[in-house]
Amino acid sequence: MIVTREKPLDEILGYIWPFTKILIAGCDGCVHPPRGLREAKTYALMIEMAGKAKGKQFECIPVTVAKQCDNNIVYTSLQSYINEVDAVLSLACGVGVQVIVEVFPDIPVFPAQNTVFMGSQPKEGAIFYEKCRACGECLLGYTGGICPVTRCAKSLLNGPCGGQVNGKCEVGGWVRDCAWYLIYQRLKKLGRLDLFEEFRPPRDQRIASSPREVGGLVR
Amino acid sequence: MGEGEYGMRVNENLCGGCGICVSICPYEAITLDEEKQRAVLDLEKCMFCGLCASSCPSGAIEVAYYELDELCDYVKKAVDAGKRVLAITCRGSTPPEEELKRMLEAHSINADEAAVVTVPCAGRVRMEFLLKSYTLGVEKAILIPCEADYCRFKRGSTASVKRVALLRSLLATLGIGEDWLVLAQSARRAEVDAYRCQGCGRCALTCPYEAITINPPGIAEVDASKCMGCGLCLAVCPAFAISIKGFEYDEISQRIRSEASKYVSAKTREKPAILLLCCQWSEYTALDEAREGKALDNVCVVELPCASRVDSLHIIEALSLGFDGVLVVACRKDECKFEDGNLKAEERISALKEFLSQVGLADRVEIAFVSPKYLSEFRDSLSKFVEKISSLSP
Repeated sequence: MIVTREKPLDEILGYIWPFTKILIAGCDGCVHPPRGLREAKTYALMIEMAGKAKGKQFECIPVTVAKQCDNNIVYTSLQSYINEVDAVLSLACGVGVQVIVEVFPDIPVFPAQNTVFMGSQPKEGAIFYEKCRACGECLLGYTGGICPVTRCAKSLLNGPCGGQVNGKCEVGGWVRDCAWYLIYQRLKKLGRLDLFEEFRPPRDQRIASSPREVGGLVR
Repeated sequence: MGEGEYGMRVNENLCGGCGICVSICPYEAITLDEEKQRAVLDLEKCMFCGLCASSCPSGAIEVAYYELDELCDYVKKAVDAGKRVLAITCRGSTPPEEELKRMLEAHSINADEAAVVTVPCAGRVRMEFLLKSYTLGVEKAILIPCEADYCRFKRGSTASVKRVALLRSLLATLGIGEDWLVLAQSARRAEVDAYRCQGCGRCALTCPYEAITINPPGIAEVDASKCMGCGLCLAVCPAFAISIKGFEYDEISQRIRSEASKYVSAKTREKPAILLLCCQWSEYTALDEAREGKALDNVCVVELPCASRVDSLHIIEALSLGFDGVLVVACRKDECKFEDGNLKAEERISALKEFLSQVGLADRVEIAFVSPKYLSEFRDSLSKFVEKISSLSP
């Protein structure tokens, strides 16, 4: 899922300060922790309380959108509110914020989150770990399902560097696992150490250069 | 009670050392002193279900709450008021009004004629009390314990079911007729509104009983045989898609809203408006008084199945409505009737406090860990909290 962190409330207040009626748009899509209706209501109350304390009366309308990355869903979900409000605060990832801007170009839209990475959480309330950097050329088939691009601090593609000690990475002080150590152990377990002997040409970095576009035709 | 601050004690003069309490205690909190042939209570292990007290043949175990005399008084008053049917429900599964009505009607009882007594565990009701009720003029009694696998005290429900069977045969022998006493069972379990569910999986990851799965195309499903009704899933669901009858987000939210004006307008510097979100197992008297409509000192009490049901949004709502402080009342650390619901609540409260610190309200939310077996613990925590809130600038 797409992992986001809350922005400090003061930063959000800074964006919306010139406006009074704010549409708080949650997203029920892949943003995590989930920022649906509960979060929209939470932010509505927090903003109103914070405004009151500073002498400003905000009026917030909390709603949620099934997927803020879909122009059509954004339009149908928000269109009935958009003329009543002065600004939109999106609780989605950076994609959601930009889609709302595209769909409703006449209204200011602000982010309530910092989108941090694509990752996972082993259990509720636990730490989120980055798992994928959308590099555009997936290597997981060669690396035992462990991503060196994301999980090696140096994104090395040809094995561990000299900073690896007892399977731990020098970056951050030998606390995190060395991705290449994990890859080696896993391929050994799978009996596929032969994959290390296979020649692989250097990566084509152009694939990952922004802004990227891919075709969207469905079979 | 006379025994310091504890709510339960063994009266050594009455105890005959039969050992029934030792075998029935679900928590191995009672042992037999071989030498003296007396039961010994380990208050640290005791969860305060009262099963020992209700099964003691000599009435040697004294409990501070729901004593025989107190319950009989209640019944007497009810009978005088024309309520000739006695319905005993368990705190953990008491059905909401409408459902209770249906349940009573199924046993051809008119709900308006029923006096409802709610006890922390149906298993703590003595057979003696039921017989006394008969002599007091009760025409029919219905005991509604939890469903067997739903009992918060492991054996309370089973014990009460067996007692009903025993009593019914006794009633038949006495010529009263076994139908004087009937049995119904109840449970409050989580239900998913498939229309609202977004399939995020948070409930499934959170459920301490692994009772929730996400089925394709992404809708949560609760396995009723595993759900214990703690309500943690309700508190974390981002879409308000899960409900437990009586403890739904909307239901509690409306209660806080409708009561807010009363408490907020009555607040003073000495009597701030306080909201208590109270686990139904951590405190008895305040909750009973709230059920009867008696208010504590400007303290609004909301009962929850477990502290883990505490919803951060309810707390934020209460603060925005003008409550000066919100106290979450949870069971003592090792006494949760579920799976560490109190500790999970503590974690979530600390995260909420950090969030609230952005608007300067972190100090107005606290969690207290108390047990009804220490009689003054709850009142002490509450007054400490009220004192702290009074000292904050408004």
